[in-house]
Amino acid sequence: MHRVSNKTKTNMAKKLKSWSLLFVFTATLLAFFSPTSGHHSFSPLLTEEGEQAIKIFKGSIELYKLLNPHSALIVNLRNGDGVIEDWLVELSSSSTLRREGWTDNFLEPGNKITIAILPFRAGNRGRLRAMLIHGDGEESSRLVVAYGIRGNTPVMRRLKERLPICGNIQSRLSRSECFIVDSGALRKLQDEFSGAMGYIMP
Amino acid sequence: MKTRLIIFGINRNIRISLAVSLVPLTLLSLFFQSEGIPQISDGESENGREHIYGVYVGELAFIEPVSESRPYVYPFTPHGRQEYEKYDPDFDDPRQSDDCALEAMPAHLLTEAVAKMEFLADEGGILMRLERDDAVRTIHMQSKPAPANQQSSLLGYSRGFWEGTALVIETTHLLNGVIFAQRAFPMSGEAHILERYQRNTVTKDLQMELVVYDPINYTKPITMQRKWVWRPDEQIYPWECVHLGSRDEPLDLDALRRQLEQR
Repeated sequence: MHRVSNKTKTNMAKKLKSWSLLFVFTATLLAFFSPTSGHHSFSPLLTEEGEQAIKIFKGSIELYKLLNPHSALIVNLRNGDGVIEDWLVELSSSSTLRREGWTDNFLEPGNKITIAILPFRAGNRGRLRAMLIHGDGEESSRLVVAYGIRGNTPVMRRLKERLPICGNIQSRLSRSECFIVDSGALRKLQDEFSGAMGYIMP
Repeated sequence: MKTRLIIFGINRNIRISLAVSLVPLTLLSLFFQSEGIPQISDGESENGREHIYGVYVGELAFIEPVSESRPYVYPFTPHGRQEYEKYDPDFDDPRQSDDCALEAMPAHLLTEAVAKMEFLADEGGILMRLERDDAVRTIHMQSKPAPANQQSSLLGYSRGFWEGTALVIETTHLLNGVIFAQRAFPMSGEAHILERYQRNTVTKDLQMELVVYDPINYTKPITMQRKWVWRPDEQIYPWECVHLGSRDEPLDLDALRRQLEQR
């Protein structure tokens, strides 16, 4: 009968431990990036490659209401042809957002914005991914990030490493977040991450 | 003044003995009341059970079944797999066409977005008020089976009992649907659910364990866990649901503007 030496056993145990660790690490990665790790999803449209189609526009806020089950943002946005399009952008429920620190005047009609939307299948309607609320004059801008970024995601970590937070969102909940972006920080982000709002792209 | 006179009127030796015996008692009481050290449970006393009453907020988390490995593999029956594969949340979820479509059990307790509830005393039972949909579940505590003519519903029929200080709720008479909102895992009308709420004697938070037994769709029970944080500063607010319009139809923004401007 073949006997296994203690040394071999120790080596096998070490290898098993390494493989177990690798397995746990891989499983964690898979779980983290699996499509089901998204929050309740009115899944946005996907590109042909299966990636979420994110649309970026510039424009302004027309109406903002904290509502259940989805808060509403009506925005007037300039499309690629320079024509103004009105969009309904959905946010989380009032119940959740208020718990996170959002208030009725967190956003104001007339705020100038650059916005990233995950569109639904019906036109001019989608879910907020991120929004840069441009500061007035010398005022700093605010970057609000939400669906697809919230939690301990690479984009959230990237932003937290580079920008101070506004302080009015409860970060401990690891959901939406608000960052302060002055003109210098915005230039740096644009240099580092190319493309429209490249800094909030996956 | 009178108290002082009484104390100083006691024999000096007795005063010293009292002081010596009170010191360790005080230290012991401080030790057991300090944060982080569990206090002695009320056992099965009525007081221990009543402590469950109050408002709780579900810990924000994407809830998945308890499993030793990830990703979790659902133990589908052939029927369950078929149901899973044919359900598309983007089209089949009732909220795609109506934001105010009512939520069902157990999705009410598993949703990430709106998770706030209150346990209240009720004559002969316990009420669970949920913020979403202004829903109220009646937990019948008399251990009577559901009436013969009990109709199935989104919230089902719930019976409760105590296991020590843990509240256990069994729910039957549910409708065909899904376990989680906006996800495709089926649940049949034959399913029953067991919830167990154990209160932490220090933090007063509730640890929920929820088990779905559905032999039509799954070969094994599916267990979920969630922490509900005790929030005495919170209350259940009216839901006041607003339907923003069906996602299946073109958006009528002018009608929505009129509707929202009145709010």
